[in-house]
Amino acid sequence: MLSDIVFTGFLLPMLIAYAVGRLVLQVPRLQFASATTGLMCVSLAGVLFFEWLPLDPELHWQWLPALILFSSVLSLLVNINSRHLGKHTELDDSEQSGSVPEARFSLRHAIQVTLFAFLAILTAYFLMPDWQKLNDVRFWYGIVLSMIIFTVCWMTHSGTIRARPTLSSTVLALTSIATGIVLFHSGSLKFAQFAGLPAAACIAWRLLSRNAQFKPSCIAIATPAYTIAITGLLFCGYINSFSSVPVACYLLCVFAPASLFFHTHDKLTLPKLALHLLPLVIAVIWATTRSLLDDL
Amino acid sequence: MKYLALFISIAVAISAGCNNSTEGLDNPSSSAANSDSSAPANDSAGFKFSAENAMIAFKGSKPDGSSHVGGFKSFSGSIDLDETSGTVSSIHVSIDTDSLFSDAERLTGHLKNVDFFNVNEFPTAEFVSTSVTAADGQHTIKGNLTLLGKTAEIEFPATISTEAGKVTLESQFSLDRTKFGMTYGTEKNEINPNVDMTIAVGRTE
Repeated sequence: MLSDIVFTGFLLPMLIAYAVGRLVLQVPRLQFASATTGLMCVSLAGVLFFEWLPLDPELHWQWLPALILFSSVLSLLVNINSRHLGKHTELDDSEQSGSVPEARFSLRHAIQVTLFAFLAILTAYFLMPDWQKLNDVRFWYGIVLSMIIFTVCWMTHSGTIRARPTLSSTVLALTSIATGIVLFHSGSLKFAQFAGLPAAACIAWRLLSRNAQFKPSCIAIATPAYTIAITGLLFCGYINSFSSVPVACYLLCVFAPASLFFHTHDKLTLPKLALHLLPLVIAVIWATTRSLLDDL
Repeated sequence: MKYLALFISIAVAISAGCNNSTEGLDNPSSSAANSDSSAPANDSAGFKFSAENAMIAFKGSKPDGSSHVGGFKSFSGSIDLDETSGTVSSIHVSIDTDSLFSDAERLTGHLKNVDFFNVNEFPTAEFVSTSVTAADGQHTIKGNLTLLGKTAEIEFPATISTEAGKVTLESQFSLDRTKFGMTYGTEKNEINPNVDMTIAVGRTE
């Protein structure tokens, strides 16, 4: 029952993501891919354990695993190419020291922004349902969803480059857990289960962050896939929901990782951490309250 | 691979992809269509029924014995009679799945969601009989039920009477929802795959 769901939907994927991440960290040329491969593995675990990825997706939300895997691969390829061409140094080092020439930074920045924009549009295209009742608003839904994914992706990416992996992975893990709770209250139990998968990957990142080779850039490279996973799940949960959970709860979860963008290099204190987590706390309490009121 | 081809070609298609907002505007929604035809009326073609004079209810249960009941508020159908013998020749039912209700509001929302009826994606369920046979006062109805976009053959017993053009039909049977891909909760045996169905047509109360 519940223990089965926790084991196959969280613990086992977390162990897989951690094992794969540790393995990849052992290979110096592949260290940058340690977080992304972990996220890819938990997506594949979802395919195995929850039949998450049908061979022939028929429904809009069934494209989500393919989008996560594709964005992971594309993000890795973009960074491999940059490194190979000598246009790219460790993201965290460059950001912190400011020693990278401006031209290199601009090119790298342009590539990343283009990647985020492409993935945002692609995700909105595939996740948008073809329901007749959305005919009048589909285009605008697509525009808004693309803009949200792009903004969150860019802000989270910029934030994770600067923040310590311990902080980034903690915020991202708690965002995934809060997403699962909101989706649970919205009546989308299947999507709530899926939210356990990115949470598992983020906990694995948290464990990997004890390793010196696991740098902020490792998580930053995985942020496009992570953003697509969380935003995609919340969008599918929202659009399929018949509950009275307000849209603000979904949006608070979507934008919570973007709070890392405002993170400074000062010492992390408990109030600062609480500020990062405040949107999630509000979202969970709000959704739970509305859900309980529905039961009365 | 199909995925790869789609992902590559999407860069070209993306500009047009989201802009099909006027597609299908001329077609009324199924719920509207159902509500238009909700009033029962009898004519020479057979006996028509809707939620006003009929009931379609279900009971889902868990292995621990707990259960919930529900039904549909909007559906329409017809029972055609053979003109010469006066016996039932065919049955057709169209159900507006968005009209689903249950004994708990939260459960209703969950049942309408992708885990079960996925009513946004599949607003209509339909049954079309292929044969209606009678033996010893008991009828056996065979037909194709389309649910969640999947069509499967089902068979159930029914008690049918026809008097002066008025038809009454009573049936109770068990339906295996996994036949239609509604597998939520069955993988780990949390919810029983079989749902108890109760159908009553031609009620006067």
